[in-house]
Amino acid sequence: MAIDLTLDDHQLLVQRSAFEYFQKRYPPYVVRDIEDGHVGYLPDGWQEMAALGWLGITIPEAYGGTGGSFLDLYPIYEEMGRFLVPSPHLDTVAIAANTILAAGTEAQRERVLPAIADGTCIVSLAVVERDGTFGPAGIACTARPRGGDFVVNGTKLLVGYASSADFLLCAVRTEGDPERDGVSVLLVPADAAGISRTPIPNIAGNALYAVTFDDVVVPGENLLGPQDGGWPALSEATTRAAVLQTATIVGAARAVLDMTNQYAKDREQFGSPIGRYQAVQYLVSDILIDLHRADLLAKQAAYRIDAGKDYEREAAIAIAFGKKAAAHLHRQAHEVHAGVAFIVEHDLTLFSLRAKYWENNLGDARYYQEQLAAAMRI
Amino acid sequence: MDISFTTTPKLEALRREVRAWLAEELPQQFEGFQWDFEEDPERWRFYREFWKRQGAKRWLEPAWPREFGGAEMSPREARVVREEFERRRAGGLAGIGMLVGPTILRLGTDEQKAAFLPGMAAGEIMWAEGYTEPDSGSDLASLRTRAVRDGDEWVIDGQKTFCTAGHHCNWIIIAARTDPDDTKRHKGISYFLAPMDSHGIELRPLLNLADGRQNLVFLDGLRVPENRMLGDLNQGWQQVWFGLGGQPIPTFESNDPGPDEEYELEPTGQAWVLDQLVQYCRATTRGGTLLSEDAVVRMQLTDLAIGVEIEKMLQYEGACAYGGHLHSAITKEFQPEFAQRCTEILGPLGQIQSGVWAPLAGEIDRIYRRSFGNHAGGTSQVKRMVVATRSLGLPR
Repeated sequence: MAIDLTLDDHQLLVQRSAFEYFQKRYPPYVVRDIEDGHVGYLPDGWQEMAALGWLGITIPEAYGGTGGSFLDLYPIYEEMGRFLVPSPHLDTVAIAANTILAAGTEAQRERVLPAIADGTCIVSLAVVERDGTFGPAGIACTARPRGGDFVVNGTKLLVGYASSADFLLCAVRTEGDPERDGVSVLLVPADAAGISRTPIPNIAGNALYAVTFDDVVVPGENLLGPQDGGWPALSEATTRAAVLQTATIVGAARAVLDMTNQYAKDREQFGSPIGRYQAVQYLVSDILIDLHRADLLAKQAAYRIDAGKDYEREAAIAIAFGKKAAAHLHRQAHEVHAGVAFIVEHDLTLFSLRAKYWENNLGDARYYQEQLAAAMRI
Repeated sequence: MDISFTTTPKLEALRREVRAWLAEELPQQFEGFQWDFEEDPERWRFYREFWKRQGAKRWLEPAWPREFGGAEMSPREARVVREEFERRRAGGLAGIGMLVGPTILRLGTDEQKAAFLPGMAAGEIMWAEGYTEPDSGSDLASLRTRAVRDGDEWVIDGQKTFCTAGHHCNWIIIAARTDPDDTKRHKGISYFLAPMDSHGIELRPLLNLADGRQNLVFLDGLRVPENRMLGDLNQGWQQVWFGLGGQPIPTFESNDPGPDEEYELEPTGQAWVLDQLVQYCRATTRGGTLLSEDAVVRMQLTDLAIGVEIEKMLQYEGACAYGGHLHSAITKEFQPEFAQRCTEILGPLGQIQSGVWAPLAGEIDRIYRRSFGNHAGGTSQVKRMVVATRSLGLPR
């Protein structure tokens, strides 16, 4: 019996390395440069993360990874948040590698996992479509069986890093009846004929694309998990990934808190630092409170996933709260900064615009509260 | 990281013993008693006897040394006892003994320990709080009650207020100024222990919003022998209020080889209320829709679940002994939110306090009214100021 809410020594060491590495490699001007392009990340940086072993942490040794624990990813995601590191890690490692491990065939594992671990394979998640729903109800893209293949038609939106992806992890409808789940997951080679990509202008300056499939032929061996029943394994992986995304929100909040607290101490109005005014003290301490709560919840969820316990309830709570906290704490930070952070050159803007992405990526708070309601048997 | 609760055959035997005792001694109609929020004479009569029987089993202070009426239980054993009492929603001993007891253990003289601890563990001594004054609430260090030495006694004059359930308690702990220099604020305060029926103590009732009775306490020439000062002269603020200094409190190791087996805690407190509310929503129709299928109610219930989960994690974190003021700020602010959200789910029927039409037998009404007593121990605004200045280093 024990209550110990701290990461272990190894994880703390990883956290320090990640802090030092990201701090050096991703200063704000680099993050802004990446925003200006369409690639969305630093290919050299991706290779460096592979060399550090951070792409294969949760991939078993048999597939070229290091067979570490889920919790080992927590500190890395927290630090990616602190420095706003743009990277396809969440889609590729947290979602694709996990889905393939859980639902993939031996051949799929051997083909993709070692390539992910060594940094030569990027996978992008393609779920959301024109009605904006994250989940089976919003999936209209069809995959019609033909011979041993599938023929895919439709358009996926908000697909990250699509111009660099080797595969698209694509949720498609293989069952005509929309009342039934009927969703399958295909690992679509990104260079298949009939795929076109259009960059989508978006609030966070992320490399998000609309990807259109026009009679794209995908070999049957690329079906991931059961036909018409692919959603549960994908959903499990996206939920786990959303817990890590909460760690990213926590890390970003730490940076936002440091920035805001310092500003409240330095900025003087009416003859006094504004941080002396209790109205401002409330705003700054809101950020600390939000991030502390999100951190506790996300660590609990990550711990339960790691320990092989039931985690649906705890994960949904952590994710839903983290998304609400992301919205709230960035608003409070702007209230404190007022005019100065309305100017785009202020680094707070980098955080607050990304908060809107985190609020929505992999489903919004409401989606996870519905998951929570189900877990509570409401 | 680890968040797990484990038990052993020996602990489970203890659990069964406590459970069987409670089944025998605590009839259902006496569940959910809260000493600070009720005045029902029948329930008070029951609990005065119940606490004595609990004390006789050494389960009021199971972790205390045997010489003071405890059972020298390890923290795990004491936890099992507490879990079972919480599971039955048994009322805890009236008064602020949970604060006074550890303070006497740390700071008390041997004579004070012998005089008070066994009586507390036996359910016979209940402590009223004599800190707050009409002009000293959040700013407690400005208190004006004065104690002046007269031979081997102290003579105390002043006024205290909001003394919760003071009329049920038989002892009071009083904070008084012992340095004549008023400007010394927290550096001139000492703490005194006095029987409630002393000449020089007079109570007048203040009925509160949540069915409890608080009291004005008039101290008029109250004479307290010098051996009833707790802690050192003028050091009371640091020693008693902030709990600093003195001897470490003894703890006892268990000799329990296991094997350990994991178990899930049963919901208590707000989590228990939320469970009740979920059951209510699953069984109640409004406007032709089951409440549990109403999209808004589902969001309200899950909002509550998120808040309750945070409270649980804060408790766990408190058990690891870091956090402090941040905890109390968060918890303070959630309590009224919890109460308000619960009433929103119940809708208009939530106003009904008792009788067949009262949802959840009026529990939410009581929680709502109690939430206005959220200032006890310091307002949330004061807690926030402490977070801002201590945790974040913002200027005062």
